[in-house]
Amino acid sequence: MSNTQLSYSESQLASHLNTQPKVVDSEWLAELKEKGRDNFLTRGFPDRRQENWKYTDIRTKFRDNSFDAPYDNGSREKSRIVDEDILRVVVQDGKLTSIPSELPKGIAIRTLEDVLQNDEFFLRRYLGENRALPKDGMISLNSALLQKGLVVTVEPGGIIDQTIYIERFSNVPWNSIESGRDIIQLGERSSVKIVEVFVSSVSQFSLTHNVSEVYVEKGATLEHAKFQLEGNTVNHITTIAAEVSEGATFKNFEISNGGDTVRNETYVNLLGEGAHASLSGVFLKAGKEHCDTTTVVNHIAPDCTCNEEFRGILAERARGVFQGKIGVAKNAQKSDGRMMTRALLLSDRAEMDAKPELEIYADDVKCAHGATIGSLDNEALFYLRSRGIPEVQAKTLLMRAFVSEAIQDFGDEIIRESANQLIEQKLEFLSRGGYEQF
Amino acid sequence: MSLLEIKDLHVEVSGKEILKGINLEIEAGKVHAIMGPNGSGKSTLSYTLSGREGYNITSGSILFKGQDLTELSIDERAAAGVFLAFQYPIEIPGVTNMTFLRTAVNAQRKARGEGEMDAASFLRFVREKAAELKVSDDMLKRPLNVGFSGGEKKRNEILQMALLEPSLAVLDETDSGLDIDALKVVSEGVNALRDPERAMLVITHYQRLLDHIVPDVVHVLANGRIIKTGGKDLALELEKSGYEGLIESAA
Repeated sequence: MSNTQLSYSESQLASHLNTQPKVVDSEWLAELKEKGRDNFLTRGFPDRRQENWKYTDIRTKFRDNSFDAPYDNGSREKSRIVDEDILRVVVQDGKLTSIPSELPKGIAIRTLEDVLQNDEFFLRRYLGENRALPKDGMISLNSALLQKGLVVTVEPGGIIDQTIYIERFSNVPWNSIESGRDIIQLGERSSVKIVEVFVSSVSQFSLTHNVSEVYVEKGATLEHAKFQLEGNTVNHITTIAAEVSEGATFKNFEISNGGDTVRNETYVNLLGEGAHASLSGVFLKAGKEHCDTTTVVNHIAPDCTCNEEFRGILAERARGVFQGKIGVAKNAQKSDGRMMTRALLLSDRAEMDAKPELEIYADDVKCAHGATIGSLDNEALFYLRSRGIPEVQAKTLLMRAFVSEAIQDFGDEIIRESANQLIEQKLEFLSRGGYEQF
Repeated sequence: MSLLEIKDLHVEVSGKEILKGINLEIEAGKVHAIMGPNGSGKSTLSYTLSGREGYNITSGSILFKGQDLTELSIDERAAAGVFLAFQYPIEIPGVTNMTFLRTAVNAQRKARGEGEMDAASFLRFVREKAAELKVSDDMLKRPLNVGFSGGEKKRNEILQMALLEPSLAVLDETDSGLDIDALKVVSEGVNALRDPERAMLVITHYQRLLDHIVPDVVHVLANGRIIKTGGKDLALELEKSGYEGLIESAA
């Protein structure tokens, strides 16, 4: 196979992949990585000719390495959640560096390497086996680079009251990829709340690429949140693939606040009767930042429900993308699906592309989708200002109100409150005029 | 010195002249009413006073407490003591009434160099004023004006006025959309705020409101000009003869 058609970064990657030393002593894993490498070399980085990458051109992005002047977006300290009720886990450049000495009964947090050495059987069952996982160049690349990651498991019946807080801090060299693969597996009737916070101190062009394989077994509940807070030279692509079993609930909430090109992918398969998925998020972008929210929820069993609620605010030349698809299989009768996305454009040069999609093969279902794109309501702004509220504060208040609907239903209070604080800071930045104010 | 002094005010909206030379002086402690038919420029005058964008002053002046009001932004005017009770208060989902009220009161206090009120003392302050205006706790907790009836919206406007304690209150068609009972509650609220330090400009189409809020001076506005000024009896006269006769005799 010839590498000539690959772009600069890809050919660099290809040679890197070909010379990568064998880090683990597992034939099974070596094979999985090799397969990933071969697939990546065939597929390359996704380009705009692939339908679900139409609005996010990472191939050109990585070739041109173009980005805004560095801006220190919310330091690590600012974004830190301070609460006694959380269990703090720190991951530095993909390596687990801190974990509470004692975890509550029923939960285990291990590294991928650890599990490979002690429980290869578990990995063989769950790693790369998720049925919701898409097949594209990015996933192949992630498999090829498989080395670092976390494995979070909750025993059947284990109810974890404290919120797990995973802080991911990256400081990788210029033009490099921070690649990770996680597994979150909840045994039957268990429950846990996890928030992952991605922060960086780099002003270097780089890519954070994280893939999570999620398994929510019968009757279990996972509340998962991701706060993406990296600096504006860091590209960020994360994929969450979740299998949700009978009567189980998967809630995912994300904040995208910063980064250069960001893509949040969530793929969910509702596999058992009565399974529920709730996906929500807020994206706040300025400058030339780009934020792509891609979701696919497949109703495979009958009586499943899903609810999606996304809000975005785009200033200056920022661009937002929402691609949401709800699929309903032929025997997934009584499916109930709802998908809503709303964006607020603060400038004439900002852009939002919304593509809601329903693909329904069953005949007794309820599915709805909606999308709105608008600007700040001048009447409301005038009303607030006529009461003495200064313009910046009035705008912040209106934007806060606009995004609140995507936050209010998320269950965990600690996560919700931290989300509110983070959003408040960014909204004020946007109200003052984004990067152009400096 | 008058609290408000408007001289030869000309205002354009979308390139069309709406106010064509308004002269108006209001002293502190007085209640002035402006009556006029639809399209006479009543609302334009109230929006111009509050500084709304799109209302361009082409000539004339507005002095408020001796200061050029036109140099101040919308929120600066509010902090200086100008309050507009809206004809159609805006609904803002996602912002609770309570948050809105506290933000407004504290923003004005801050602009005047006073300390902000903490949550507990603000709550006491609001509860006291709200009770007088029959604004329920539920209305305070709900998103601003969302799902409020016409009467509830107007009561909420007067509540804002009571909390913000302006020196000039402009009431734009406060009676519109109110039944008799609601009109009574709102008027009582307004009357309770009459004060030797405070002036009011009551803008209305109908005389009915002026039975409840009795003005010191009545002006008739037609076609962008004040065509007649008189005492409270002028309103009664208008109710009998209508605007048309007056406009014709002024022309």
